[in-house]
Amino acid sequence: MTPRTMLATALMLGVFVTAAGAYGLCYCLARRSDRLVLKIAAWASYAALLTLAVAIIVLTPLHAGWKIFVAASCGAYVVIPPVTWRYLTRIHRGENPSHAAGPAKHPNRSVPGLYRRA
Amino acid sequence: MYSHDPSFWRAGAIATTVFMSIVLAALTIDTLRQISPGGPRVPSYSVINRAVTYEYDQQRGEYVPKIGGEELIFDHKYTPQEAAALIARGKLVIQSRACIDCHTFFGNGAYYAPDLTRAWVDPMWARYPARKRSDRLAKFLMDPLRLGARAMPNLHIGREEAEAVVAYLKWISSVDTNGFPDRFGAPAAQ
Amino acid sequence: MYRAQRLGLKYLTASTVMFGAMVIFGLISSIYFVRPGFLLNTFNFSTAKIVHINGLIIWLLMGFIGSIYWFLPQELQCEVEGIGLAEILFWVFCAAVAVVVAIFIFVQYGTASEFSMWFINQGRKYVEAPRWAAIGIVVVAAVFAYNVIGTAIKARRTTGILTVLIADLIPLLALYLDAFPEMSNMSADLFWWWWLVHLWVEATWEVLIGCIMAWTLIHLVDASRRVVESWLYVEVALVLGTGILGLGHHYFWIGTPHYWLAIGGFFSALEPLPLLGMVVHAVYDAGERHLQAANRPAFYWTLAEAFGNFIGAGVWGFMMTLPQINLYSHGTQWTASHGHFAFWGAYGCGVIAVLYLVVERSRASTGLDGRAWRWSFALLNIGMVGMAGALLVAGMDQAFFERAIGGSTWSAFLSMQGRPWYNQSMWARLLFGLIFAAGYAVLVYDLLSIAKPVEARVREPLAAAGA
Repeated sequence: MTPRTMLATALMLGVFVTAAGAYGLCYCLARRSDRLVLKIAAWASYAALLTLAVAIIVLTPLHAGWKIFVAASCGAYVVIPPVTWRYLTRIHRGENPSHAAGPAKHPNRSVPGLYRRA
Repeated sequence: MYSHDPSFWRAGAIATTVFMSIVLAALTIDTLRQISPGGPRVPSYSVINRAVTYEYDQQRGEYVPKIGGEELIFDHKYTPQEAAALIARGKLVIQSRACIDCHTFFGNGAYYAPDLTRAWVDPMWARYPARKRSDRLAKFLMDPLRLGARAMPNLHIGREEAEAVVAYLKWISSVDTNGFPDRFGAPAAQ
Repeated sequence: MYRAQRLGLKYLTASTVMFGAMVIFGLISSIYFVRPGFLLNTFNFSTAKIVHINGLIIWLLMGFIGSIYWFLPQELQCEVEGIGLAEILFWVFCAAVAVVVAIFIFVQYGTASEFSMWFINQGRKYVEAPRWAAIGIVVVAAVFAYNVIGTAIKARRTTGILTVLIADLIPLLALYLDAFPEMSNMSADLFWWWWLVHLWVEATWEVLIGCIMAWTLIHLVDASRRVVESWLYVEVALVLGTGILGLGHHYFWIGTPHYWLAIGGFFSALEPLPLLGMVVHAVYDAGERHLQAANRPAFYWTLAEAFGNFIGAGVWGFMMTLPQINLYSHGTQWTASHGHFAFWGAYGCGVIAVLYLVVERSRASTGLDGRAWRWSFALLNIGMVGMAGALLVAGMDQAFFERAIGGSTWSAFLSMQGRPWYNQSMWARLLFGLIFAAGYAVLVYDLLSIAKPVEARVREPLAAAGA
């Protein structure tokens, strides 16, 4: 790996995960407020993620195994936000069936999470 | 609904932890065998009596330490017992002066001073033949010079302590580190 | 208020003091990078660095211990077993920390002898404390474990969160025994050292703060225990599922076999995936609350933790964890950048959230939502992002010129010190460090002013234990 490709690859990997984060964030906000601009932002972030994945696979000298990993994680990133969201909604409903209609209606019974790890 | 039942997730957490711990234990047993002195990756301490270089290996596609013929430091041939005692002493000096809280070994440490993994074969020192190199390194440790933009403090290292550290640095430079650091000394050679 | 909760308050106070010590010695450490001859031979970089990183460990550890002493009696509705002993040990712990810091500052280092190992400095990063003090930490941790387990036995019941905590205390204690050995073989030494550092920080501490955050959220926003426990188990599975073999990303270059490149790279590259789930969860909950909670500072700090963790550990980690990149980034300021950001995201923000919760519950009932906490929140986070950003630029510059082009030799290292980007980044780090320190000062001011002891009181726990 040349010095330039090393830095470029690292930056692409960093932006790749940032795009995944932006997609997740915008996806959730769009689910919450139903605004078109957020939906567009979510899909634009995911498009950026896919573009970066293609760039990483085509342009960088990473070993084949890591390229497969990047390709596979595109699939994982696209499903994590909706699946987590659905799980959260369902677990809330199970916890509090009388308020199942919309989570935002019952702020007293929110289920905060353990959104952390390293 | 299974996902509503905490005990489902608890079972998952326990299973994952147990499985990963077993894998780690198995890998640890194999790794410890490979990194014991005299094993396939870490030479025995008597390597301090041999020539050590760090070269590009075409077959592996990375830099690898190479052990050559006899090359003494401090004009002394150490027996295996002497070598082990000297290396133990060197490590004690390194810990007592907290070298790793400025320098790094294998890239682990404090990132404030140069990495010491290949200090013995560094072009700055390797231009001297081994006998002279060991002596100069020992003198440097005892009374560090100002080097470039950084200066090493005087840590009151005695002659006998300094010799132990030099032996340690020679031994550590012979450890196979999967090619870390890369392109070592290549620009200087060009 | 239970006696254990008063003890918890003492621990949290001591934790905040150590946080300050860490900030001060961090600032001092950063001066050496812009003024290389600073205090040479009087107070060397290594000394400042040792106090900085040990301060980090101690403030977080005291924060965890304090939080648990705070929550435990509420959880089980009874006084903590052996509380008298724990109270004595608190003062022993503080005195020992003070003595060790004094030895580090004034004695600094010894000669190559067992005496130095026992009484001055063990010279292993993060566990420099001399052996007598390390034994002291084992005693404190053992009494702490006895307090927790003994209370559960006395109360004749346990809860899901408490069971996880108890199960976690055993490896926490066992791994710390790794702080003592003195091995000739650096490869083996670092191999075991990483068991301590990685498996503490990225496994047992993660579980510990997971339990603390679970209690925090139950008390902060009246979360359902059943749901929080499910999440705790999911989190334990994810943390330990990726974290235990994620240990491998420290075994790339220390003499350990080639297979660690694949294992360590794979498991640490998995880490951003669950972190994204945590971000989704945070946004979901924030929406649930409409960003409102009785205790806004604590709530915002828990949110900061989710995002800080994703960026610090997820983005920063993924950038440099694949072996082909790590070969050049390892051991540069890039690593330092990742370390600062990830520690802050994973633990710092969480402990601060607990501080606000405990201050609210123990002292003030109103007036939490002032202007000061916003300032400290902004200054601390801007300071941290700025420091991590500056160190990232310095580290990339280093990886490029010193490592990839320069071939990592001493002369490559030394010529690096004169490069403008590297130097300017170091100045920027110092500047953002000052902003961070200002944030710390406002934090302390805020905690003290809202905590004016009008009337010490404690609310009943909102969720019935073991529901």
